[in-house]
Amino acid sequence: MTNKPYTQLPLQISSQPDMNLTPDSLILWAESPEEARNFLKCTYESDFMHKINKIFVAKRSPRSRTNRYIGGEYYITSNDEAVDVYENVIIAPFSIINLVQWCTCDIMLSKGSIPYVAVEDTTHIVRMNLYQRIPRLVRAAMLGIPSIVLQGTRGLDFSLRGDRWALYRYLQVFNAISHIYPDSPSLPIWYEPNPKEELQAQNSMLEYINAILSENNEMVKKYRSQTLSKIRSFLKDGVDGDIPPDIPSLEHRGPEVIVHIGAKPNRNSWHTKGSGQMDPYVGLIAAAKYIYCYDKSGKQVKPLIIEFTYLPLDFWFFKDGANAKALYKRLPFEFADEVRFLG
Amino acid sequence: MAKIRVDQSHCNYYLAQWLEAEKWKLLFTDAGRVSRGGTGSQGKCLRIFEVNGLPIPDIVALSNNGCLLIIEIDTAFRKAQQSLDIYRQSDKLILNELNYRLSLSAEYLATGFCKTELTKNVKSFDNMQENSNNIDLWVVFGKPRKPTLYWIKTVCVEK
Repeated sequence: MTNKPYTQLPLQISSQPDMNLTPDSLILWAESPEEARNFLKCTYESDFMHKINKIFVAKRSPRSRTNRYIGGEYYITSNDEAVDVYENVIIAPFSIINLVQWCTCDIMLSKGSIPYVAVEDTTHIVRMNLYQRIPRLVRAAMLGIPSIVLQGTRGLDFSLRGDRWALYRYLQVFNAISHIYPDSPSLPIWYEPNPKEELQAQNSMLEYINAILSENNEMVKKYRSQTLSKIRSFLKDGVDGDIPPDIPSLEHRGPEVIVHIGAKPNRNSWHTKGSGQMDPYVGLIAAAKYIYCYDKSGKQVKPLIIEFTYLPLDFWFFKDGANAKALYKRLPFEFADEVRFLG
Repeated sequence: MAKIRVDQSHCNYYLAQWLEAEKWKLLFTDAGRVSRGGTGSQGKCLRIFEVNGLPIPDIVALSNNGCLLIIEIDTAFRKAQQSLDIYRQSDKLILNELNYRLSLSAEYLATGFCKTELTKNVKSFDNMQENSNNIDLWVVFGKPRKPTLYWIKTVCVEK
């Protein structure tokens, strides 16, 4: 594992970092104080070997909808298990700002200004929004930062074929990312929703994070190999033998990969929600790109096209295209090679 | 000196800590969308409230003497009032469901309100009984990290 081939991608910020971080300080960058507290609690209950020196949070509380962190603003905290949030903000290093341009992960750990690993921790998964967190995980992978997803499966009933298909489709994207970015894969640790399995999954996650932070390449490689092998076994044989058909809105067997989005222009949520109607689609678009546009060697071989079936060319929500500041307005254009409005 | 934000997350954390220190059993804390669901009493509690169409509380805790306390945390009482009324009106449903699904022995339900942001004149709450708005507990933060609790009805703290 090389450390760290940091790649800078175009950013939407104009701030200069003003951090004074020493390379040996371990820093936790959390979405909100609650994510930080949850993560710290996990570490106290396990053999986590590393002392976290500083904690910064992107949002003052989990209910906050602001995204000033995209411009680099992070709140200072008490740097302890209470994670008291102060009014003061700092500007994060470019490496962190770059990482969060497609939405922040729940947790990121850095040594000084060098990100080492990103973490997502979620108890639920639903068929209709399987890929919600994929953009931020792909971003990490692109930037050479491995990630891990603690994925509870509440919301799926594996006695239902449709939900077995959902798990399969979910695992497909992680497999794809591992081919495209083999040095910085995103690994899901999924578990049945009971306390015993949750604890096992947490300990497994921390084992991996320990290895990354300790730069124990052998352990990291072994962990990745085991996890990816498990994923590939499911993808080969299906989840309980079920391999799903193609998602109807996704065409991928021709020379182009086309994601058809049937969101209608007259829905109120375009105006009332920051994400408009795009919440389930952005993740799907990202997943479609990485599952179907790349070959096994990690080379893009097909373009990704987004087709809005009902939205007209001048639809106001997307008037700024790739220059939009809001994530859900911008991301479709960042992922796609072409966006078509057919309404 | 840097100022600490005494917001919902802060209040939830420190009030929960205080309750645990006073030997209450914490069944549920909701500092936001993050810690929802999951396994254990947290997840079971959430599902009970969701399935029964009830508002999602901020803290649910059980005392040694069978008092089930449900707390709402907000910037103003009027924002929490409707939820608190619903809990009170649904007390039998809530008690039955939690007792059955979490194997508890809760005997009666109490409601409480915690105000976020610093309260400058904490002493003004000394006569809360007159203004109790039919709840059992008021909580304010005169300083960060330190909740001040006013029990309107003391039945919850009797052994």
